[in-house]
Amino acid sequence: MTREQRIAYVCILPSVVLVTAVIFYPVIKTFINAFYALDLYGNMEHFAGFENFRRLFKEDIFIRVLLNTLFWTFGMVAVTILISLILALVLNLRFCGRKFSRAVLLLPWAASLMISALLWRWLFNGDYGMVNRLLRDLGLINHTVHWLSTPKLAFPSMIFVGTIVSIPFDTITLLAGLQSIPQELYEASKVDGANKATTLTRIVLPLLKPVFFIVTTLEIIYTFNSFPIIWIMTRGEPANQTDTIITYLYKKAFLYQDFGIASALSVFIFLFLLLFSVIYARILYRE
Amino acid sequence: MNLRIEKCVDRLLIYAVVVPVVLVILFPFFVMLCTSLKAESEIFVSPPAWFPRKPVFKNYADIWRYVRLADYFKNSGIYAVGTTVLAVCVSIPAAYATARIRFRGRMVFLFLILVTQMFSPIVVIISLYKMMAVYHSLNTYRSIIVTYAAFNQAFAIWLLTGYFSTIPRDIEEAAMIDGCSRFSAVFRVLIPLARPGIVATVIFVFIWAWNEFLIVLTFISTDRLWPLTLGVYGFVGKYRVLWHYLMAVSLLTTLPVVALFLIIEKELVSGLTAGAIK
Repeated sequence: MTREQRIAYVCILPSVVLVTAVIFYPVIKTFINAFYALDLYGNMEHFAGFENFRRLFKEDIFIRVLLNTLFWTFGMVAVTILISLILALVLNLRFCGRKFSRAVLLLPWAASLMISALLWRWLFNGDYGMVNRLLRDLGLINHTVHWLSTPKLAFPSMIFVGTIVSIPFDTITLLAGLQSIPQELYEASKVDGANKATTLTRIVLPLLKPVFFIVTTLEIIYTFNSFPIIWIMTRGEPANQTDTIITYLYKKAFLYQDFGIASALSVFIFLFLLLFSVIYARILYRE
Repeated sequence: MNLRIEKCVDRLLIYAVVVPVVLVILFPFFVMLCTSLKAESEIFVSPPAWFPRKPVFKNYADIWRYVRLADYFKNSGIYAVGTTVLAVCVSIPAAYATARIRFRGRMVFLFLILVTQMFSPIVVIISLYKMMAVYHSLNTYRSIIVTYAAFNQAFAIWLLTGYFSTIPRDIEEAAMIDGCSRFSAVFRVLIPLARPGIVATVIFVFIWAWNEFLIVLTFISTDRLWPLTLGVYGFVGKYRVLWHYLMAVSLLTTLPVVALFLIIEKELVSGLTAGAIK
């Protein structure tokens, strides 16, 4: 081993230790726990094979929670990415008020998720919230809507909030991607007589593809993992109707202290995330 | 003439997209401000009024007594500064090694670091909670700072490696030929040149730590050690949510970060492009 190499290993050592202790070791520990019967404090009792998983799949609510998770993740990502893309394309143009709108766009990013969630919980309040007041003033509703206590409405309401808080990061990253497209390409296509639509579909979007893929994958992962919005706005209630797999896991572990099922759920989540990390890494390294 | 009409239509389309988004984003902050200035008697009125009858600025003085707001600010500061210092001190050497030295296992290291970015704290929270209990670290500053720093390694190393790679290595080599040690070449040449990248990293990590919720909710139960996020959340658990106080506290919590964001908007964008995209 050369001196160079030794220096490199010494340099990465603190980081490796930190990440191993706080992330990799607990991940492995959780995997092992998922195959053991655990007591109320999370201590191992005896090897249980797939018992925890069997108990998990037998729960009536589990399918509901899985469907919610898919709806939450893919519904929100589709809406967010579409809006962010349009917004990025527009903000890349010159117009009066561009600087102001870009500054406004940063606001939901700066406010923490939990503050945004609390704020919207107040806004969506049936009796005292401003959303109902606004819709009534605009003549769109004429009765009180209980946004968060009606399961059918609670989920779309929370997706709406999730979309608003995710738009800033996505838009700004896509905007950065747009700005890295050389100006000459636009001019060349203009000289060649391409109209705006052709320039967009043939030049801008293909060149934006790598950034677009990365943003989408990151967004899927962030959304899937999202905890504060649901936890604060509905806590997954009423009757687990608005739980995703993430809030359900947290309840299982820290409310019901069923660490066996919680560990099995962690393994489930881990596998999903691993799948996406591999896709993400492959995209990243191909570029 | 035709061109003018086209230009007009373009303008209209632009504002048709931008104006609704801006309004939807500003709406909650507007309500936040109005609610924070209402009197308690105006909070639970249905339908609610848009503006306070008479702005009650006293709310902003009262909240410091109603909750331990000063403590929460202090704790948030300790968590965020501690995390930033630890995360940056650990990630700078790692990023230096990956950007400058072709060592065996470099790709494995980068891949593992990237993988950690994908794992949300939720996957490890149960085991980590047990570990912290075993080491008597629940309800301590260190449990939070160490955990936060670990979850920020991926991002920090990725961003810094990107920045270090944009700086020509000849500059450091020249300094080393002139008699600088490797260590002082890094400290006197590389780090000053990479300042924008380091600043971007510091800010991102700081804001992440300032706003984190799940880990701190799990590890910290004594309200003496709560950061602002938990302090604000604590309002909801009380018998009756005093929304005017809650909104005032939220506004005070958000303001420093918004100010920071507006000041560094440029670095934010260029930091993202250099580190995360390339």
